[in-house]
Amino acid sequence: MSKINIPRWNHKFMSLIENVKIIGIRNSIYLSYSSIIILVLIFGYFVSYFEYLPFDPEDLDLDYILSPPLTDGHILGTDYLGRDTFSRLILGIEAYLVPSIVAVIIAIFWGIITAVASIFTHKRVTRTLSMINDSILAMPKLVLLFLVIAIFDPNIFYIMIVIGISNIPSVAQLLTAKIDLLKERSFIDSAIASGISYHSIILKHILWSNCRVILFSQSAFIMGEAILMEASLSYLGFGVQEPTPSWGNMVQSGSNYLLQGDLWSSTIPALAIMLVLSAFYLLSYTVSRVLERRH
Amino acid sequence: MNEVPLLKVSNLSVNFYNSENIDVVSALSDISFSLAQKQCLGIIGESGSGKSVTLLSLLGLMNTAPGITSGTIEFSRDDTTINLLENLDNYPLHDIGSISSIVQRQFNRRKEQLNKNFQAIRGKQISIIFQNPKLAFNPYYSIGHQICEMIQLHTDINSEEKVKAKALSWLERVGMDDPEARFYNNPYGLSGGLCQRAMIAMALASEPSLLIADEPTTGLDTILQRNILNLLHDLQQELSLSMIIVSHDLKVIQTLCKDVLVYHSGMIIEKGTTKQVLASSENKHPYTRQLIQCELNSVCLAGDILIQNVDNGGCPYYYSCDEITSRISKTCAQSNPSLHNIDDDHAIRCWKYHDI
Ligand SMILES: Nc1ncnc2c1ncn2[C@@H]1O[C@H](COP(=O)(O)OP(=O)(O)OP(=O)(O)O)[C@@H](O)[C@H]1O
Ligand code: SF4
Ligand SMILES: [Mg+2]
Repeated sequence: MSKINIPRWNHKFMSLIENVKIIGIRNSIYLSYSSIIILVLIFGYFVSYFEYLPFDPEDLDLDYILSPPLTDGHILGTDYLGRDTFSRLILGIEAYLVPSIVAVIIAIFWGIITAVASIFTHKRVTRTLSMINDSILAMPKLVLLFLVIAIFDPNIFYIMIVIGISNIPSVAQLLTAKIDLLKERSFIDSAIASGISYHSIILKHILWSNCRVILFSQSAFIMGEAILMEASLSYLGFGVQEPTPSWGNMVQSGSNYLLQGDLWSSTIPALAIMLVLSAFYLLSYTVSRVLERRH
Repeated sequence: MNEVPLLKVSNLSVNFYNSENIDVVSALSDISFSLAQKQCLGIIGESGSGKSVTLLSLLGLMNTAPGITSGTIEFSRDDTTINLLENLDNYPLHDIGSISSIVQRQFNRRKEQLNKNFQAIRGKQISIIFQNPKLAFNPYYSIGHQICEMIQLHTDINSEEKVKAKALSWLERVGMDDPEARFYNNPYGLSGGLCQRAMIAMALASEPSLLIADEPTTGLDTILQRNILNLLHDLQQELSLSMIIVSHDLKVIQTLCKDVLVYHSGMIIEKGTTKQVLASSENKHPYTRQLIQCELNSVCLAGDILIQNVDNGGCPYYYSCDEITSRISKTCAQSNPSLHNIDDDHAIRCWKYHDI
């Protein structure tokens, strides 16, 4: 538990510096790093969505094969077919951003349903749901992934659905543990007794006020995991397929030329993966430290 | 005075499954009492005798099967009387004694029905102060926020500033040391006494006609206890509230309440006006007498009240009773006495006062 005791910051205007003081310098740095990376990511997504890329990412330019960064307008260099790495990097965001969000939504949504059902429905529903969770837990993630890849085409959305489903149990367990703690207190009873409606109790008094730390940090964590999975599978050739760029298959195609001394076309996407992953994992870690209050 | 009582509970019975979920234990049996408008009713009795369960039943907060199994709770407001346990008979709990899915399903329907019946009075008409105020607040919101929520939910005030002003005035009224600052305090940042005051403010913010307080002074020092009780007393007079107070402190009951119920093992063993029950007159249930003696002498010469055998059909107080005479000893061991009126409004559940 963090030792920082955050006074109420919602009602009183506080300068940026004061905020930093409260959160702690380290946490502020982590938070700003994560938010900058994530904002850049979202910005990049829209740039590629509206096709404002500096080069056509599929455009072969055989004069500039494997050129290092800053060669004639290719800011980050080119790959083995002379395609612009920077443009492909930006287009590559598309490969995982929305699918990962789908994974997060699946995990969080079902996690919430399972956890909330444990308070408000009767034992049989709860038992069935936890049985489903246990069977998901019993299945190794990778086996499940390869199963899905073998049955369906290597479609990124199927993969993300599997990732989402495989993360349901951990979200559900965390939430259930938290809600069990809350049930020990009489405040749920007290809220019912004071006539607050059930959906307001569930949404506001349980999920939003008491579980949002778990929800936020888990979302960021699952997001990170989904991105990592996408990159790994694409690297192995099971995810997004060439010529559609994804950071994983960019690393893969570049790595063939690594030994020749052409570092850039594989290290740049690898670096990008690392930055984004660390942003999400740090966010997950910092959110729980900053929002967790003593109570 | 033939006024309709605000609250009339008749034959209320509540059951729970025991820890192994196979047997049913009775938490309350055959509870009947009524509470007149603007009156205060006290409940005393030993720990585990079902006082809290009674209060929770009045708000339909039974979370485990079988819960309320019989009885009526009639609540009157503005010349209309509603039975809060209406339509529960439509979902009978068959085969009590073994937990089966039928019972569970019926219980869920009953719970829905209960919620439907009680939704109109929860908060609006009846507010409750829980045994431990710190646990009864949502730990993440400031107390001001939670009081405002009550005001918005249950009164006509809707402009945000007015709601806040009202909440502040409540905090002021219950004697918060610094309402403006405390408004933003989280519950864990308050001392026990302040938290209890905040709880009272929250309970009253919805302007109910009945306030239920479950041991409102437990865990507070003596001076604070007095303060809180004085506050409750003043508020009751001022807002013409009805109140039900559970307390272990007989003096409290004596000063605040007109009527009193004495509980023992899920039953009312004595009821009457405070004067009749707590005065040192002769006619009294042995348990009440013991209670009063303990209070006066602070040295308790009671028998071992841990040994209880309710199932043998005898008087539940049989094993700790020191007033069994040879005339009644056999009956005491064999059957449970019924409440016997020995005076107007004064009833005692003891064979001593029956003609046998
Ligand atoms: N949800 C429940 N499930 C099973 N048994 C329960 C439940 N709630 C209460 N009981 C039982 O009902 C009995 C009465 O409990 P209750 O809380 O009303 O006691 P009390 O008179 O308020 O005691 P105290 O003075 O300690 O608060 C106890 O024996 C308790 O074990
Ligand atoms: S009925 Fe008998 S055992 Fe019970 S309280 Fe009266 S005298 Fe005691
Ligand atoms: Mg109690």
